[in-house]
Amino acid sequence: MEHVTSFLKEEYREQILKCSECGFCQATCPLFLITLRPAYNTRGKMMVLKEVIDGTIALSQELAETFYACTACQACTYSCPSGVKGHEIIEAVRKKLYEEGSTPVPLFGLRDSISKTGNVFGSDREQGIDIYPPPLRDKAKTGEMKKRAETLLFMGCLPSFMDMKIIPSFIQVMDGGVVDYTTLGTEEGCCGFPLYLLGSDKFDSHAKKVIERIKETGARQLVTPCAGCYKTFKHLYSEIGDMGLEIYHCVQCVEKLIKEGRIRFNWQESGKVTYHDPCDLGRATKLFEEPRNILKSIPGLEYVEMAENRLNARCCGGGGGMQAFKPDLAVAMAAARVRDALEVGAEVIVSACPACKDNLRKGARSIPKQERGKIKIMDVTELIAKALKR
Amino acid sequence: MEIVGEENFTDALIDLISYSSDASEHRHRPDGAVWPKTTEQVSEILNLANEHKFPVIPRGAGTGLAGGVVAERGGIVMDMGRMNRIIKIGIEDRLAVVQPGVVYDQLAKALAHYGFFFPPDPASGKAATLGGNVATNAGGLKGAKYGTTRDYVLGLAVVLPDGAVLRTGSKCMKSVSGFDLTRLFVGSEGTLGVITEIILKINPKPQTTSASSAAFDSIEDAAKAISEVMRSGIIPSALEILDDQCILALNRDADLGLPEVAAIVLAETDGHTREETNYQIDRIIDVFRRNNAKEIKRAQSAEETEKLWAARKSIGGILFRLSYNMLAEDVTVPISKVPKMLKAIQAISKRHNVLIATLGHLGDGNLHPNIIFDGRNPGERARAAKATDDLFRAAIELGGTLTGEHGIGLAKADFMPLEHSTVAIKVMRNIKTLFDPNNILNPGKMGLEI
Repeated sequence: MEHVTSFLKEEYREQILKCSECGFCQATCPLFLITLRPAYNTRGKMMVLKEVIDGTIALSQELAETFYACTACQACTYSCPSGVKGHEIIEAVRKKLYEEGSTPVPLFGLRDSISKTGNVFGSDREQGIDIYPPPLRDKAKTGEMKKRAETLLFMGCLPSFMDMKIIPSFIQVMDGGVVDYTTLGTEEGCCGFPLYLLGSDKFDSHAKKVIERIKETGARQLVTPCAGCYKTFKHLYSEIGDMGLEIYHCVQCVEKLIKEGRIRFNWQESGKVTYHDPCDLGRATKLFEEPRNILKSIPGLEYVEMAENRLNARCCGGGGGMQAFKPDLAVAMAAARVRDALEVGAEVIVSACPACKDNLRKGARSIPKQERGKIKIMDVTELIAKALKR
Repeated sequence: MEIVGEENFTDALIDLISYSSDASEHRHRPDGAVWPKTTEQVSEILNLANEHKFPVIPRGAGTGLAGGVVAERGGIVMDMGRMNRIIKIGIEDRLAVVQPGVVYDQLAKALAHYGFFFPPDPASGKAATLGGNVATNAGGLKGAKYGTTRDYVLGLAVVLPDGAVLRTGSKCMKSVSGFDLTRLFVGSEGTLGVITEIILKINPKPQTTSASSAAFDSIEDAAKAISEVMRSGIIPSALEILDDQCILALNRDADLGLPEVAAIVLAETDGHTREETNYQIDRIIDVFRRNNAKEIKRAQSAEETEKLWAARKSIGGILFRLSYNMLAEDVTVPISKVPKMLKAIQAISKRHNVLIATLGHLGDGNLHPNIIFDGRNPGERARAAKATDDLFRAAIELGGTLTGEHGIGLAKADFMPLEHSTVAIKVMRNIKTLFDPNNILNPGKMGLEI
């Protein structure tokens, strides 16, 4: 019986057996709350695993669905009275499913894109710098980008290939704060987080390559506007190797620049703004106050808090591979989060995660116009850039 | 299935497994599950089941502790979770009309907006549905002052096994028109019909609370204090006890720094002014003092109240961490018999060499002796079963009942004759046959079979 679940650490097997099936995780699982399907909630997943441990069923493609139907938001872990770390167990099971070739087919696209072109969209590497502001783009093209700098800006796949505003805003803020930086330009690739979420064994070797390339810059700190990249570098890479530099999310860096008086704000508009905690920045890495402090320091901006915030924030549905695996459900989860914001009268939802922004926008668009009104979704970098004193 | 549409029926393995149990030790996979959206769909499904004689097991959130929604004989689980609209909140009429899939907290939030609340709040209120609360006649912490779900159900829409829709009760605060069919369905555990609409009485929410905790060196003193509180003329909005096993577990896992005594008693009073709630809590504190309480705390603010209650609120989860299995029992005795029942629990724990951690809502005599064991060890499992048996007998001997709020379900079905006379059981079985002659609704529960 032991060998069947030897892929699970003893600690996880214990937790699975200690799941009392109380169902409290149902109250916080973003996927359950929109599907009302218990099999998609963590309790359902633990019940499947209990049967696997008992030997009444074996892990299979049929069962894989429930383990990939998860945004990896960690809400279940925080709501569990019995101390079951649901998200860690799900990640461990995904590894096994991947090894057995049971990962759902729609998710392989992510892996194949990364192995082909180095980014999750399978886009041509050269296009990654098209969104840079012209002077920086020219330098990147002609190879005049600084080889070494104090700070390495790591952009992330989504900002590089799919978003029009995050990188220009991010660069503008860094320039405003007179930060000595460089970027990897066309050599920047995916941090590998999607591989990790898939359960791929390629994550480790991918991470090692990224670490080597980053080390070449000699930078003392890395700053990224992407919550997923941040969590990956800060927490997942630490298991693999020493990156030899400090890792920061852009909200930490900007909060420091504000405190040091290196950037100042001059807000021209009025409006109610709320902050959506990205799971990778919130529950996963506990950066709750930095983005709020930034928003609250912008004069003229009225900050409102959603009922479910910080540790209790509802996931937007954009993570865990759900956008690839179940795109409709990902959008439905985002719509639920947009409604949380509408409920407190917010006119702008600010997030600090490109995936959240992308998915929340899709969610907002899925809500009838008369209900959603003029609600806007922005990344925190955009709002900061907009509010900068020129 | 044509009735509900393909997207509302499943026989996928992951669903069958997720519907194979609730929060109890019982487990059995159903053959399928449906998510009805309307009363008409429920009616059609029951009609079909009645004709083909397959079991239908109505289910809410599956947070029950008695195996009430376990498909012991297979059949179809009818998950009512997707009928989750609050149909109406009528403040002037003091009522809310809801579908069964509305979660307790969802209603609580909606009512808070008007300064109202629905008092019977089970510990699982964040996840549990009102349909489940009504079907199991759920209780909670506030039972002593506010009663249980039964006291708030004014009327129901119920689909009977032949598909007919029965409307019981009315939207009136008073009604003595005909038999009280509403009460018959409250707590009937899905054995007589499927509830598709509920009319609930609601209360204005008291704006203030005061709270106190007291540590006792002997469980007898704690129990005596509780009896005296109940005689004092003050009715606390909550009166809870945690025994030494609970305290040990809390100190080990939750770092609350509780005094390691035989028992901690927590009291809360509620009302509309601070003077009123303070007056009441001070009378309760007087009682604690007279009964040798050694460490008495009185919360002066909302944060302090929160702190006092932290122990009680986290205990459920903490106990689950102690071992692999837990039988969360809920025997209830007349309040005057609480001291004797507490003693009996200690004796049973010793006799069978099993860990029993007891907490309870003492304002209404509802005890929660939790039998904690490692079910992988057959010896321990057998001892836990024997302890449960003795627990039930002890409660009944004291004039108590098998279950105060969790229900009979599968867990206590065999013990029904212990509490109920042959006449009472015969009447219950006749009622079951009258409504459900083919025994399709939640078969095997509540000891209703001959």
